[in-house]
Amino acid sequence: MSDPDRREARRLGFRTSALVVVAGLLAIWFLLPGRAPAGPVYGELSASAPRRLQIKAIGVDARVVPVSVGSDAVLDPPADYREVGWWDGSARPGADRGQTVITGHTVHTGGGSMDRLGRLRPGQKVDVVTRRGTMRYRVQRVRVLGHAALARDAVRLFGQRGGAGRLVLVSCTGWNGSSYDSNVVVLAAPLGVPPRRSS
Amino acid sequence: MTTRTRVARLVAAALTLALTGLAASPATAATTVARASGAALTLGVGGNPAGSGTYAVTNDGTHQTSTGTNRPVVSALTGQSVVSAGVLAQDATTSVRDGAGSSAACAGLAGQGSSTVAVGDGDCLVPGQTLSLAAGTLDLSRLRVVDATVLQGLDQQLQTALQPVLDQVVPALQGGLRSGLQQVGDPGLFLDLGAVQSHCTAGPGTADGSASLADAGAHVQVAGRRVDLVSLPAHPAPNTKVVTDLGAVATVVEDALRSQLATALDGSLGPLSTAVDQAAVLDNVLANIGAQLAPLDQNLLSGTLNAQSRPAAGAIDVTALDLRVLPAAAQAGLDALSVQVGRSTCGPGGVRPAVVQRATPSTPRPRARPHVVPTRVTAGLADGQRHDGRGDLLAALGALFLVASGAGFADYRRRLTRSGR
Repeated sequence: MSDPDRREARRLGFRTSALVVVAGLLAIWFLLPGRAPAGPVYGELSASAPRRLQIKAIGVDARVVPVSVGSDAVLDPPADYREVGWWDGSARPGADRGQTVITGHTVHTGGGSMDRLGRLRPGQKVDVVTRRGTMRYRVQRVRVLGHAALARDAVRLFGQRGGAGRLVLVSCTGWNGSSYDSNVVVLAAPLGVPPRRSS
Repeated sequence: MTTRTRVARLVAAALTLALTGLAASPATAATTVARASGAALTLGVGGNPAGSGTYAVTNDGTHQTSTGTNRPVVSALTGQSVVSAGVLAQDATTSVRDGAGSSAACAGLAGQGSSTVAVGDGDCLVPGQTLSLAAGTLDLSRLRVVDATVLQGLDQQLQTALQPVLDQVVPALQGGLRSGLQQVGDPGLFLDLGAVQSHCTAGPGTADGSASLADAGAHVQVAGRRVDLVSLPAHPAPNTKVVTDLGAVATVVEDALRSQLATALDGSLGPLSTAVDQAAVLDNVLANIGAQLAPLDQNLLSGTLNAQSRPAAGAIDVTALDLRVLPAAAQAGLDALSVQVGRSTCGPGGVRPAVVQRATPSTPRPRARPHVVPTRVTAGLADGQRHDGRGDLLAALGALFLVASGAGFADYRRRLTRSGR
């Protein structure tokens, strides 16, 4: 092989290696657990669409995407079970009235954004990060409802009249070997924008 | 065409129009498919009504209309002095799904520092401090030492001994009673409420409701002491009756009077003071005074907790606390008072009449109106592989890696082959 050919081969090998390294770095970046965004500068919080749900007590830190409710009145979480869905017909965090409804998947084999939702206990804190700051909530009640009971209480749980800005988290529970029998619902009262140190 | 014919045709046309209108009216009449109401507090003070009013909503299948306020405040409760602080809550809502109406309501009263929660998930008040309502004071000034009863029940020997000095003993005991009652003062009757509230829901053919009473009861403040009359259960069964017992109050009053009466009796007996069993006489007098309080016992307060009625199928009326100070208490100086705390009504509902709609091109998933709430949440997966967006991305990266490696290797081999020729 002549010198120019060798140089050309080395250049080609270098390019291939660089491409492989870039692909590898990208893979590592996506494989790493999601990290919370840099701490926001807290201040007065106006109502704003949620971006992230963070529940330190049960290790939740998930991206929030808006989801709609169709005419069939079914609330579906995002297809990516690591994300959670904010019902876009519900209140935005920081709003005085209405309730902010966020849902996420429970995955039987693990890895769902709300696998451990039922482990929350009254008094524990939930943070919802928005573009304008973080809204902190305190868990008031954790309820497990059958599907029929959930349908019966739907207006009470998800209705948007009044509400005083309550947060409602909902997922599935009660795996019976083939499907889920119940829903777990967490009701949390708004505390406000946490001070920087407690964030 | 004659004038008579024209008139006849006009009349016929008018009748036709009227009949057509009548025939069509059922379809166009407004139908209420859901209704609910909440009333935080209703008072009747000496026959005069006062309170927060009622917030009521109805839904005709397309719109909800309301009357009253769902943000009542204590400062707006005029014409009464029973409640001067606290937090009121009364709210109601309706919704329609697939033409069927459903409703929910909540109402109650709580102490300072309480917070309100949206109508929906049962309770609408989170308790704060306990609220104490002054329901009135007991006027004990009518208690008397009745001449005929002073000797009643005493043994014959004692009656014979006291008979000559009865004219001195009775007035002395009356004086002792007066000064004793001055020390006791007028016992105050209070209703204690932490958070008393009711809520209800109704749907097609069904209705449900309940009430809760946190830290609720009644007590009397007498002679500087608090005497509990009744402690109300936090979660009473429907239509639980309230029973009061004034026995403890009578005991406190009698204890407070005993020393004054003993002094008066001892002073009026003179030389007989050592010969007469004063304790027996005192017990006799106090028993008779206690008997004058007896009508109040079991009859001071009357009421029902978690009062429920079903005025129609698919409807419910729940009142957390329905209390009246009885007429017997009026004899003791209390104004007639009625208190209703936390009344919620839901239903009956109905189904919106079917409307023929023009066929429209199907859309992927029309967005529901804002007031249509989700009734099903499908948030469970058996496993996550097929839904993992990150997995798809990693697969794509892996493919990119393989393609890049393969292309590079092939090109490298091609170059080596070409240079070897």
